[in-house]
Amino acid sequence: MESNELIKRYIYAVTKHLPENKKQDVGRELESLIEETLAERSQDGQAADADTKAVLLELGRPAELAAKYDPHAKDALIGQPHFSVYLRVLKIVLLAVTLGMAIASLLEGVTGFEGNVFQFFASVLSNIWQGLLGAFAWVTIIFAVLYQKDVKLDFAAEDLDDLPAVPEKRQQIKLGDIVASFIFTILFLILFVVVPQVNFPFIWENSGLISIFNPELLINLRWLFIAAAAAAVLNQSIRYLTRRYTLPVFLTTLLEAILQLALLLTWFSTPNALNPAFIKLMNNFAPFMFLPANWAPLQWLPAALSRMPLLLLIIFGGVLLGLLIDLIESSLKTFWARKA
Amino acid sequence: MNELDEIYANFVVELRRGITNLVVLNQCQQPTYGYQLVKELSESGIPLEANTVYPLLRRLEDQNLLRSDWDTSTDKPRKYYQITKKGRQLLARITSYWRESVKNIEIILEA
Repeated sequence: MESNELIKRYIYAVTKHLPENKKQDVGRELESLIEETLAERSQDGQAADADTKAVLLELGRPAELAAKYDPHAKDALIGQPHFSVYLRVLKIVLLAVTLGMAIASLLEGVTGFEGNVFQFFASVLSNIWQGLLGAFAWVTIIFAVLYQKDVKLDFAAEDLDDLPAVPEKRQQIKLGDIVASFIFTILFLILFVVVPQVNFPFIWENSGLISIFNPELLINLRWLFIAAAAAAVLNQSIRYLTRRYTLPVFLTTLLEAILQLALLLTWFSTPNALNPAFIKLMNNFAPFMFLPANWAPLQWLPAALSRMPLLLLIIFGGVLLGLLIDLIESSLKTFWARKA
Repeated sequence: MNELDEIYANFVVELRRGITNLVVLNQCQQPTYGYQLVKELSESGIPLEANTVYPLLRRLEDQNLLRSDWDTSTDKPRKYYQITKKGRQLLARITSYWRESVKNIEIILEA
């Protein structure tokens, strides 16, 4: 290509990115720069095409040069201070979507999924993945627009007095605890809601796999299981978001405890809560543990409790104790935090 | 380029960003045009690329720190830049800030 044509094209490529009122002037100035540089480099005042190319290469890519003329040019999709907020929001949204999609998929599985367990889990994973992709795209698009349009994000902490107090160590909720509860809740849902036939498998010599609990009853009570699990997920989500003992944490802990108690009472006080096959198998060893019976020493208990097989009564007592400890802990810590 | 070279190169870019403004403003106390400025600075041991200097001159002009005039009296039209009153005020402040900083940094480095 001829030198002059190359220069013309280069200048056009730079100036087309610039605002209308600057195009001509910047173009003229660049032209003068290029000519002057060429004049000095070429021996006889006649620029060779190779010289022109060298000079233009030194000036750099047209788009990059144009960007240098724009003081407000942004070379990031989402930059600071928006980026920090973006990361925080993204984390919460992705977590919420994962939980939400997991619950939704499990519900879908309960209300009738055609296929085996593996197909079911594949569909759960696929649903979660789809949800995550969508959420990621939306959060990113929104923050990209906010950043590119220079929308000020109003951070509450502008005023130093508004900065939240650092929670005392004992007020903080450990991430490990939240993750453990979450995993426990998911396991609980899978065992009792997704695969009620298996529920709590028990293996005994020559008997194969026997579930401890009565699967039919589990299927009948599944909405109660789901409600208890949903309360647990809500509680854990709020714990994750606040990471300290607050009133919402206490209230959701209370809700979760009430639902779990209602579930256990309804479930265990039903005469056929245990799998008959399991009772039959265990009868030879310790019949008093498994048979529904009226416990003479426990007559003072409400009928619903005294009718429970001892095994269930022990589980019920253990869970009740755990719930009480949890409730007392969160109420004390919440109260202590509000007082402080 | 190894990792240290890369870090060094980024470091230099960061350091030079502010200095470039100071130097260019200073050189524009006499009417000057872009190419001349690039050559002068290069000869003074401060090599700056034309693709840095030209856009910078333009930005300083947009901020009313420089003003410009086309000289079309010769067959090579050139755009001359000269510092404005506002530019001088800024230059004075940046210069004293620079001197103070260099002095203090020297003290730290020597200690």
